[in-house]
Amino acid sequence: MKLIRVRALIRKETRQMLRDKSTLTLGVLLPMMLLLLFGFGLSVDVKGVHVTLARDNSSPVARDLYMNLKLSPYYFTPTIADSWHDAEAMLRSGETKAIVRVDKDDGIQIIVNGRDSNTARIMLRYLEGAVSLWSSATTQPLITAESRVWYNSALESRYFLVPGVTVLIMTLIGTLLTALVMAREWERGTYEALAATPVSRFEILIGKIVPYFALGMVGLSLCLATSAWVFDVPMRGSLALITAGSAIYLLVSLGIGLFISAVVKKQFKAGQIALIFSLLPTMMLSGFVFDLRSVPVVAYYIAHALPATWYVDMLQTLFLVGNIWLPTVRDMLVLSAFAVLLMGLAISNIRKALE
Amino acid sequence: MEATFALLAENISKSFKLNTGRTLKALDGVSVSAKAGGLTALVGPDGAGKTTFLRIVVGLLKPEGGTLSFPSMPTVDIGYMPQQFGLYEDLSVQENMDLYADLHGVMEREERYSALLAMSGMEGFRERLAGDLSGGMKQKLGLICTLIQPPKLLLLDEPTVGVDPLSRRELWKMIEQLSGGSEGMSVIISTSYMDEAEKCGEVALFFEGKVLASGPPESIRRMADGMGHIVHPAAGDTPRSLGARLLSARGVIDAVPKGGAVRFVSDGPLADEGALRGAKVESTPVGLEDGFMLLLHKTASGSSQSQDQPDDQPPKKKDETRPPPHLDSSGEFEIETQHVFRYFGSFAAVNDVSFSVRKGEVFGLLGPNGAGKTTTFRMLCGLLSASKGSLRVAGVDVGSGTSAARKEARRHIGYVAQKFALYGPLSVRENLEFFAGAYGLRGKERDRRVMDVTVNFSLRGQMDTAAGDLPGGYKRRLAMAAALMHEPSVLFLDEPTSGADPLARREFWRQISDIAEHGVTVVVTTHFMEEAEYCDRVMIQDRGRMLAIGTPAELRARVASPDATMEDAFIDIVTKARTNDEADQS
Amino acid sequence: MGDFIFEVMVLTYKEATMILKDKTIRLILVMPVIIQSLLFGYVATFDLNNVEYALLDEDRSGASRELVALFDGSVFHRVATLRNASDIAPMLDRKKAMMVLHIGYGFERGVNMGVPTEVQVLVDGRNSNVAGTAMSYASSIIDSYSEQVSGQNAGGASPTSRAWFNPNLETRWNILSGLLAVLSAVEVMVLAGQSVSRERENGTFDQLLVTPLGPMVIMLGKAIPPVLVGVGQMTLCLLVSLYWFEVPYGGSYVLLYVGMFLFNCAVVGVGLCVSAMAATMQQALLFTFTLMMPMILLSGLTTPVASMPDGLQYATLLNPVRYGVEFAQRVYLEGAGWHETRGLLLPMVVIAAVTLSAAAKMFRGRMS
Repeated sequence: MKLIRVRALIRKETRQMLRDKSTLTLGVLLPMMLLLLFGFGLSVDVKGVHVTLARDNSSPVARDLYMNLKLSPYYFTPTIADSWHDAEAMLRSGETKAIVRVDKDDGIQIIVNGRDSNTARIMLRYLEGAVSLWSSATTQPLITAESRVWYNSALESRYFLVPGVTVLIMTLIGTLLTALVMAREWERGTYEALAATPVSRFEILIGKIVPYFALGMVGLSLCLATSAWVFDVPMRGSLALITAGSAIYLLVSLGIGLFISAVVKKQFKAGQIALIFSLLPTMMLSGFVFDLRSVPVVAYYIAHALPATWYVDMLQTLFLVGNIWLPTVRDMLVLSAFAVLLMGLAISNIRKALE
Repeated sequence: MEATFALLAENISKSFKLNTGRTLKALDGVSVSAKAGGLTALVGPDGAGKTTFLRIVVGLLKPEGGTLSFPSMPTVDIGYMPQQFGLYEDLSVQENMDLYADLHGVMEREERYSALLAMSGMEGFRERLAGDLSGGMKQKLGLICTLIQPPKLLLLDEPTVGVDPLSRRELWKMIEQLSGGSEGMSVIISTSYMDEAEKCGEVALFFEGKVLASGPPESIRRMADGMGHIVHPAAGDTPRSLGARLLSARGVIDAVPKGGAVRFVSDGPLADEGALRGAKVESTPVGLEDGFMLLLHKTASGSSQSQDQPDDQPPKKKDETRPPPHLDSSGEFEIETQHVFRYFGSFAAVNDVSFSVRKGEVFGLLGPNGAGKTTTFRMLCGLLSASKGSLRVAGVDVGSGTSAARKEARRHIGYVAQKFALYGPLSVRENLEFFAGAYGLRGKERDRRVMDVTVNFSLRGQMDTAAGDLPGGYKRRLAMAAALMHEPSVLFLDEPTSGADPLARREFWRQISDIAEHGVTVVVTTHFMEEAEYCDRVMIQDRGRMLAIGTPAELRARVASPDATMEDAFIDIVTKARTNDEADQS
Repeated sequence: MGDFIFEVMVLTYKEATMILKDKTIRLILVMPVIIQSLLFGYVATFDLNNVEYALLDEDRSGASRELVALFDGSVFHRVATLRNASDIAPMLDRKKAMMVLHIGYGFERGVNMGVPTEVQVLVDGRNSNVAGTAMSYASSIIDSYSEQVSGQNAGGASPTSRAWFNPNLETRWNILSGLLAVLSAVEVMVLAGQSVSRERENGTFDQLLVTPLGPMVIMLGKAIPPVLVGVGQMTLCLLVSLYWFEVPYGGSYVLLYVGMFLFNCAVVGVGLCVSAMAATMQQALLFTFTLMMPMILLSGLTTPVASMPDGLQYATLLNPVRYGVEFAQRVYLEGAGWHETRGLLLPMVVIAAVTLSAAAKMFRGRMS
């Protein structure tokens, strides 16, 4: 390996990267957009739920409950339907998400639309609470649960979504961009010219990795800065550990991209494969949105074959809990193993010969 | 004695596994030697194994058998410029040079840069992005990048493909300076231009993975000694159709129009005097190309799996009894353009161009890279609108006509794009059937036309091969077949022979003559100036402007020298116009 | 008209052959959909059926044991019994347990004396969703124990709750039905996004433009194969959902297919616009991707649209995936009919019409 050659390759790659608008779009614009979306927009918190009170006759009970719901600390928007039939129609048409049916004989019934099961569950909980608070306003239960949520006392979904986006962004920059740029060298015939020079494939690999690694680190700083200063996500672990862990993960995702493009050699296919292996699995399987602790064993193992899963685990702990050495070191070791494996595969597939 | 060789390759073989599962023997016991400090040319049809051979020499591919040695080099030091040289188009000339200088570890570079840039006439372009250079300059930059660290042995794979005659001369000047110069470089160059091969000390003729002949050009040329003839067409006949008739005549190896006459090679007395229509035959000295054609002809007729020779030749004997082709002199124009301009921003890519093409005429569009030929072409095909002026094709104004009228015009147009735009993953049959359908042919009519073009272009054996896997010659035939499927009245061909070997080019032009005889108007762009001889009329374009228009004879007559070639005429006209320009500016 | 249909068919056939010819692409079109439907069906859940918890029982009385027995007999699974309060932090920090149940001294005494008594429930909040669910499971167990020992009903009129369309509130149901739209959308948009830019890069687009095929024909020929691929992928996903996970289907299949067809048309329209604008395949892919991400995120599949800020809720009105997801879920789970879904079908028709005709315009627009 010769420094001058590596430096030349890095300089070339950096120039190309900076001159290509689409690369920068993916490297900078998309991360910003995702961060803002997740930070401000997306949450699984329930609010503004339309609830319909169905009453058989204009009993004062209903009026009373209506006021109660309206004033409850949960975010309900109650309306009153004059008959059960009307209420049902409203639920079916999607106008309302839940019905509270007050019937003299049967007591109180709560019916929710279970289509969005998560919202439904939270709604049910709130409504049950509101109704029982209203109906038993005076009696206090003997034993109460005093619940405390550690690490995220207000149950802000932002706290786990924003670190999750960081994972998504690292994956995108690493995998998708490199999958394309390497395949492009094959398609445009520039690889053949490079291969005829004294450059080794290891040097080619380093030349590809460094600029995109740097771009990824820029993306990471953007993520960290916005999560700390714009979204006030706590960062209880050390910044150094977060950076180190992210750097390792970035190498993993660069490795995946380089490996794909070294094998496929066509932008069309490389892009598609990178998309399939990066976008949806990272969103759905990595534990970024859905917790992996209650999935079936097979799915659990498949999810853990995904490097992103380990990175999500590490980031959530480092952001919200603090420097917990045991799991963090384990996550880092696993990620390093992935990095070594994938880089090895990439380099063995970037053949100098053009067979 | 041995040490005088830069390369000794003995008995090299190599095969590839195709996607179809078949194995292709790309090289079959190839032996080539290259003298140290000399120029060696590799010639031969597409797919003959030249590129594979060069890749093996440079070490990108591993040979399956045979030995390579480099006697004159104590340490192996090879430079290689691939066919599609990998310039980074989004980097500037300077940045590309810096990259390769660094990769080769060259420290003292400034002097080298200046020398190379001066040699190639590119001093003023250091800051230009490689992607914005013309085709010829890109090739020169590729060569510069390869030469920053001067190698002992330089391998060039078809460096002049798609390069106009002017740039080609400059590129060759560079190559000759290198090999003959103080650096004492040995150069191996693969090319499809015979005039280039003639400049080399040694020539190796590749064919189907074997070397048919090698030695000094003279030794190959001499094989055809005494076989060269020249014949002036009788009154009412044209060189092109006379040439086409001669090519189908038995005993004739090659026939090309040249300077208003037809030059042909035959290995015996003409058995079929009828083809001459009474014209008188004189003998003429032969060149390397004639030897080349002779060798290929011998081998191809002995080999059943020939690639570029039609399998059912000659195509139409009846042509001989047809009356001589006549241009429709009634004044009916198939194409008319008047004062056409096309601007990209403030840059005039086409600047006041007016010309007309008669029905059944073969019209050539010549010009250096970036002259505006392709822009003119795209406007004629309705792919680009003109900024100013009118263009009529097949009776329809393609510039401002209604969309229905333009659609109607497109029914009468056949178009063969520069790189043979075919659907690579689809088979030959699927490609043909698609284009048939796109032109509204269906049912029996479609089957009949598909069958017709399949026979005419000898594609029968390849119907189920994916178009992307076809050898170059077949790609050209398929593209032509697809463009002629709907029997258009105008056929546009954009550099159809770029990168083609002489054999394939002959075949192509024979087909074009045939098409023109059937009354189809043909507009063609080319970089092979001798091909302009096949055209009825030629227009020369440079920097967007029309410099000259007329028959090949008229254009040749503009040069003082009596036996000027078309290439001389071209270079003369373009340089004169450029000098005038510069004089005007200053 | 006959000619028009013939021309569209010719081009459609060619486009379909181009897509299906490549073995890798064929594989890419089928396998990921099946694997992802299966995996996401298992993983994508906010339900907890096994909460690992640690117990810190300082009271060690009969009452505390009764309460713990209730926990152990439910979805809670005890992984450790702690001795000291200082053991709590390592349990949660290292993810050894998701929850710690802490019963303090004097629990039994308080219960026996009828004094309101507290039990501490400490939950790992790294995933706030799961934390909330675990918390509510725990408090319902504690409530019922409370009722049991005090003999009183916590409320005079305790409500009975029911969830329609998804009685056990299984996340899998709504994720799978929503995936019908999302899984096909990704692939379909990539295919459409590449279709024109690929031809442009290979030079065949010019060849296509010099044929008499009009822009409308080219647009339809390019749009139909990806739409069909999308409908096919949706069918695969539907089969997995119906026969593997046995999520009951409540609506009309005709309506589902009509709606999903329109949905795919809208997505293909967006893809073709991207393709017509992009100069290279790489640009097309990156643009597709940059659009795809927010389209999926703002679709309401993983986070409800109603929870988004108002501005974003308006933005989702332009997002075809949002309508597709809601449509698929409502037809699948709620059995919604034509009348109930017209508010979703109409926007998809509008988006499809606008994007597809814009794409047709742009095919020729790039001429100059």
